[in-house]
Amino acid sequence: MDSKAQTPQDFAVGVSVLLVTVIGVLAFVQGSAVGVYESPDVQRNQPIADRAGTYLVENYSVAGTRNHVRYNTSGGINASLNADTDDLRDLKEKAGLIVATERRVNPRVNVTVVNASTLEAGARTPAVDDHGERLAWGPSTDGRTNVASTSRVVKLTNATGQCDPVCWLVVRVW
Amino acid sequence: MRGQAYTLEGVLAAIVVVTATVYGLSAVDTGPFQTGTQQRIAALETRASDTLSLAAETGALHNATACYSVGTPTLNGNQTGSSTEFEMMLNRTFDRQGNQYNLYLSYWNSDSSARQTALVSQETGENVADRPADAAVATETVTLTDDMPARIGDCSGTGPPLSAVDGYFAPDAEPDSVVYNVVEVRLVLW
Repeated sequence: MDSKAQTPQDFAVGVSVLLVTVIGVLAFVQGSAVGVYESPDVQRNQPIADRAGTYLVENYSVAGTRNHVRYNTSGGINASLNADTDDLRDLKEKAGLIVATERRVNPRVNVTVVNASTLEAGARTPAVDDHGERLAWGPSTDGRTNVASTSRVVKLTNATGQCDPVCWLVVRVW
Repeated sequence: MRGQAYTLEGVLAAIVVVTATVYGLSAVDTGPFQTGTQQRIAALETRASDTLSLAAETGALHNATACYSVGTPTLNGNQTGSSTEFEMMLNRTFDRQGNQYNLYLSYWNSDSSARQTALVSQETGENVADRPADAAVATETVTLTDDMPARIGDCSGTGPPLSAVDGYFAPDAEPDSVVYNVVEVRLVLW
């Protein structure tokens, strides 16, 4: 070690301290500017969920009414989604959700109907109809993170009191 | 000669920068800057307008409006005292999900020159103290005519016509016409 200034060493130490400080701040300070950019998946999927929910409510409504969804009739939401593939390909095509590009895959969609008594308990488990069939379509969201969801308040026609006073149509996208 | 070389270098550098920017922008999804609060409010707004639409569609909103101050002291989802269909809808959709709200009815005064607003939901401790800056709003309009019956009891029984009821909150705004009053129902939710 001679008597000259140790310029390269000073530089290396100084830059390391600076980098560690900056990374530490970004990693450990909560609610900072970084939080806004968290999980961009949800931000990207939220409009997709909204669009799918709007499509379902508007397309399956009884003609001339709002938020009254045709359930167990031919062309109703039950028949259409049951006839669909497991990943709801038909619904995604009709609602304009097929957006895959080279860098992006199509969103996965789950549609669930929650009945009034479940809502009263504050839960979101799907309703079960008279034939013991769960009113949930599409892949399960179990264990998924960054799920965007939209809830529409509806009544289903001829759903035998399950939607008294209301049911929710929950669309989850991830 | 040297000047031309500098110019070419500048042009090439600009092309590189522009290409990098275009390529970079096409790789990311650009969208409006949204915070979590804005997303939450947007979701609440959808739910509020859905609920009012559905209530207007089933007639529950009309019944509740024609019932308020005749059979029900307040219209809230806590169902203390009365349980009309509209209040059950509010209860399942908002109270049970941990949301606070205020419900207002806005109506014409007796010579239809100005509108008056009444808070018809219950002022609980929470929704007075914690009224936040961000709230979702939805409105729906109900037209009442002179010969519509007032609703009594749990708002499904019919009483005398509105024009003959004494204790009704809204006056007859146009006594010469069949229209009794036009009431705007406003749900403020957070």
